[in-house]
Amino acid sequence: MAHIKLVAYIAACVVVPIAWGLLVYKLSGPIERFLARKRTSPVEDSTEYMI
Amino acid sequence: MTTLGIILFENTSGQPVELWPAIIPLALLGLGVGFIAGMFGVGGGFLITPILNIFFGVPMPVAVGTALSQQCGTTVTTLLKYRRLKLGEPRIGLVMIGGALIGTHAGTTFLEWLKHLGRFDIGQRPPFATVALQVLYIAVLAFTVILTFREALAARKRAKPRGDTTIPGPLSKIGLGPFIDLPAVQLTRVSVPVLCYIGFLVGFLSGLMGIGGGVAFVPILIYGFGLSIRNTAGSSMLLLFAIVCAGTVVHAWHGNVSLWLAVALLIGSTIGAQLGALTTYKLSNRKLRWAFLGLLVLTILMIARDLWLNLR
Repeated sequence: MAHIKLVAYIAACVVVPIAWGLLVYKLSGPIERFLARKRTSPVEDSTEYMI
Repeated sequence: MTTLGIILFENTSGQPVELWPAIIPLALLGLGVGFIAGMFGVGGGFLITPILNIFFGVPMPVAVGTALSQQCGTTVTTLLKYRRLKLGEPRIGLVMIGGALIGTHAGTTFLEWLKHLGRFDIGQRPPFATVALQVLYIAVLAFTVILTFREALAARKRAKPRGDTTIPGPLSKIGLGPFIDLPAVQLTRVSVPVLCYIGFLVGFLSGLMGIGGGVAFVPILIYGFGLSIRNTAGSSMLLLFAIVCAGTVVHAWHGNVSLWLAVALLIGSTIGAQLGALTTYKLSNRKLRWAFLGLLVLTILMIARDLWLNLR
């Protein structure tokens, strides 16, 4: 039983954040369209390495 | 006040920290780090791990494991976005993945070994693992500061942006066979062993420190192989996703992941990343680069101060 709990816990630690990430990806289209409306100026030098 | 009875983690003093009310400042931390990550286009792992340890008293191994679990969510979103844009060279990640997974396991195992070394007998008697990781963080962040500073100076001299053109760097010219051509990023005869060793190094640092690619892998692809930023991001995400998932599994096996903590950070960081991305469009990349340099220096100072207070 302890082993099953451990495996379930390990799986949850990976699957739950991934599921949240997939949900965010699905919602990102509408969010990006909303953000695009907020942008007032083009990005300067957008292909430069930032960090 | 109700406590829900859920323990988030045991802090560095051995006291259990309950979900409520700690969830509020932790979600705010996620929001802040997500904002910075969205603004600068980085994962934020290099900020979350030391802040969890220094300001919230999360033991370093738990901070590392939880940061990796949180990054499973953030990297899958970014990976899918870059796959949709068809940017980068997926073969880079595929060649590196074997070395990276071995490296991730080696990094997490090394952290477990550090965890069992106990505490220093000086100053505040800090855990050996915390001191070792703080020193390593300072070294890795200082390395990134130097590379970013050089690039910031070089960018000032360029009349116009380089676009997606690859300018072959020193690591792409090493003559250690066998070789692989990477046409999507305009590189030929790249050494496969060099890619594998770099994969091992990136996996090791990720498993040990809980960082994604922003301060380790991305600078190597940019400055070592000469890839453009967009090709780098597109080439690195598959590997980073594999690394953070593998690192999470091994850390969870050792009991180093607090799932509730990861979810709290993830929810905050998702919202913060969208707000940060909005800010990005109001500032030029050159100004952002200097701001990022300032952030890195502040992070180094924050870690160095905590290290000094612990050891004196």
